[in-house]
Amino acid sequence: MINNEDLLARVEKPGRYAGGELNAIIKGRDGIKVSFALAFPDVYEVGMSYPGFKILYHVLNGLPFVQAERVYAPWTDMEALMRSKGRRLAALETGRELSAFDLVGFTLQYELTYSNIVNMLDLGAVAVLAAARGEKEPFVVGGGPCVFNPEPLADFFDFFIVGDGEELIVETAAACRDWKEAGRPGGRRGFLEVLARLPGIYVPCFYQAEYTGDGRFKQLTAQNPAAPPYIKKRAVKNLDAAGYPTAPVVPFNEIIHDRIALEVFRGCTRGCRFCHAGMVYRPLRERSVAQLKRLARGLVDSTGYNEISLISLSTADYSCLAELLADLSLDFARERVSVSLPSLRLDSFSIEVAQKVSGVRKSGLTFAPEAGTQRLRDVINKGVSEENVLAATSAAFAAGWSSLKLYFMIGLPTETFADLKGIADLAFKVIDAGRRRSGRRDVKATVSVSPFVPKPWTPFQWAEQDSVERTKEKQLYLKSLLCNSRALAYQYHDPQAGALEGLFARGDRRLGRVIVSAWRKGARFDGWSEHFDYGRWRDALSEHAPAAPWRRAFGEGEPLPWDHVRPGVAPEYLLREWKKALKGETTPDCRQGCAGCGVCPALGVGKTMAAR
Amino acid sequence: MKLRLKITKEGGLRFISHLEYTRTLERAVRRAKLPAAWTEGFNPHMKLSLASALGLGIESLCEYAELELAAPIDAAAAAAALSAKLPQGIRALAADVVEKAPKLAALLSMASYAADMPEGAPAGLINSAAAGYNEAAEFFYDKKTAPGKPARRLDLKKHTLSVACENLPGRTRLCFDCLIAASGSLRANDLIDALNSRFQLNLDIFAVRITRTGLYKEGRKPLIGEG
Repeated sequence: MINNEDLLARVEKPGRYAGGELNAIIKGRDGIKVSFALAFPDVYEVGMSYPGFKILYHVLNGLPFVQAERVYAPWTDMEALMRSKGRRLAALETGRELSAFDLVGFTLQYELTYSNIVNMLDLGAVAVLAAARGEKEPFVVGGGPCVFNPEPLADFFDFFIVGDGEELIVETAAACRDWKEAGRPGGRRGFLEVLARLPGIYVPCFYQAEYTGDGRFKQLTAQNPAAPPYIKKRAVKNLDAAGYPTAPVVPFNEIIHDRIALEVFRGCTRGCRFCHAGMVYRPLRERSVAQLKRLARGLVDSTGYNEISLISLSTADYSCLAELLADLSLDFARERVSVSLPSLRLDSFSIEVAQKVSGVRKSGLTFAPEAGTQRLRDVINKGVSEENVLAATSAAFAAGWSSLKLYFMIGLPTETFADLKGIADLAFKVIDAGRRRSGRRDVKATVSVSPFVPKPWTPFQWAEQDSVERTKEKQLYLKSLLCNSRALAYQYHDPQAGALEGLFARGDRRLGRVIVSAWRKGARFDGWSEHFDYGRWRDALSEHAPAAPWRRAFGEGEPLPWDHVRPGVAPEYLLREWKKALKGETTPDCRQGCAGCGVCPALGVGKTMAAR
Repeated sequence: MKLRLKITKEGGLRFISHLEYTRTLERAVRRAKLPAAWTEGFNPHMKLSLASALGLGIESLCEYAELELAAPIDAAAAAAALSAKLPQGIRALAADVVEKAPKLAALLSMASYAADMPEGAPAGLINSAAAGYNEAAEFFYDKKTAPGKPARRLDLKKHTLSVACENLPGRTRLCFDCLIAASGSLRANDLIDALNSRFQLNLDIFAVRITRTGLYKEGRKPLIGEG
């Protein structure tokens, strides 16, 4: 059974749509009470690389009464064919179209996928607006990092799962089964009331938003007795005890991260003030070395992959990293399985580690100083000195790497042109120190610069975002400083995409109309530069939310549209950090001492370390 | 010592590239824990090679792969171990162990294809097109290369002498052999495309299902002693 088999010869990368991959789970109809589509609002190669859905697929299909299936956004060529022939978007496992599922779950990874969510619902014959869905239609659920401001999506989603999904998704599926077996008491609304009582579930239609006369967000109030005033995220206490897939689906098609993804820990202790993930995935929970070795063995045996990537927000911070790497290389050397670390930090980075993990493959070392001066690195609490940067990069060059990548942001709070010049200065110092230390002339670095986007639930959530024009000005200035060096390549990103990302990151419910309007004008795959058209969004904005000053700074006492969805970090802590940032004061890593972010007491979950 | 395998590429697997098919096979060899040999160096590669690349969208009942071994094994046992780990769309049909042999790709002499025309395609026209092709002394076809590049003119009769037409219930099948030469060989799609345009068959090319049915050495000898 291949969906749209007759169309596949006509599209690029038809393997995206063929299904039938190794380890895909297709159950018979017997005993299946709940069908759950895991919908990734981007193309197959991106979606198949997402570890979160590997976990949920495994957890859900581990329940005998659930059939969980995968569905991805069809690329534009496939969409055009499907629409011309009246085909509907269906899942890969059984070919069931979206409208026939009980639950359709989208992961909210990135703001620029929102148009794809609407498009996928429409292609799957599901009413785009939650309010318009009939009794027979699926419940549309969202989860993932962007759930900490779900308001721009409130019109499209029946409910959201806030925080770690491993446990809550099981409770959701069980509640759905019970509600169906009881004869669907209370209809759609009845089920949503059941869900709203589960800790960590947010049902947006049970809340009313109000705005001030001058168009600012004022408040959101619960209108249904089942709906709590605040929705606290769910957090898995012990990752060793949580489900983790040892037989993930192995694609035939080459995907973005085509290797084993092994999650070493969740959360991060660093406290970088711009970092959304660092704030919303707290607290730190490490898996034990013994468990990671067990998982690695199972994953290698079931997939045949030749590479294990140790993923987490900052893998080099793992408290037993040396032991884990030594053990894994012992376990797998004979089988030619390599181990890689996708994220290396400048200060915890050691060339020894890098050499150990990359088998001296001289590719892909990246460093993220994020800012060009010590002053600004202190503002963002990066905890990295110029000395750290130069020591690590020149050691890498000396160890044989010939090129590396340096990541920076522009538009950070308090930034001046001196900080921008600092980016170029630092890049040149990296090259000079690299040449001296390695004795080679041919060392190279790519300077990659992204516009900073303030994110909700970070200390920078109150900050003003640079305008598109201002970002362009800064990009050009940097270009003028970097373009004369053959050793440096300069990469920068579309400031218009950053503007849109910022709009949704801190937007409110009034953006729902904007999303529908831009989608009707043809918005798709906004995260892909070849498909992104700012004009569509600008027009949609001027038609439906003309007064939206979304870039603006938020006042410290101002109501925030996302305040009800709580990741556990205390608003007071964020404000304290914001004020320290403006003074250039740093806060130590919470491995060294509690910074009082409030997550552990709020969630009743503590830091878990593998090291004894 | 090499393990020579005859395997298939069927169903949805016709939609993956040659490179992806090779990696899929490599992962199956790893799962089956066959004693593969590896290249030396910092970035070791499994010594696994395929006889011939297959175009995207074409199925095959006769792909050949060769795996260099680090330890001697019994061909049947290895094929059974591999079969247990193969994904849907690949079957192992035969296996043999060869001691010393030139690379498979260098041995190839000919490939056979069966092309099923779309349902409802004009059987009469297709039959006379095949006859017309078989009678022609030469049959030129301007093969499209990269966009913006001039087409390359081929005489198809140098690769494919004749096309046999089978009339099955509800569909027509064309069967033909293509010679494989060092100077380049003909793609099955090119022949169908050429017949389609020369005889104005108006076929929906995308709906033609092509299967590679045989791959041979020294004329028409099998690559694995099948018995």
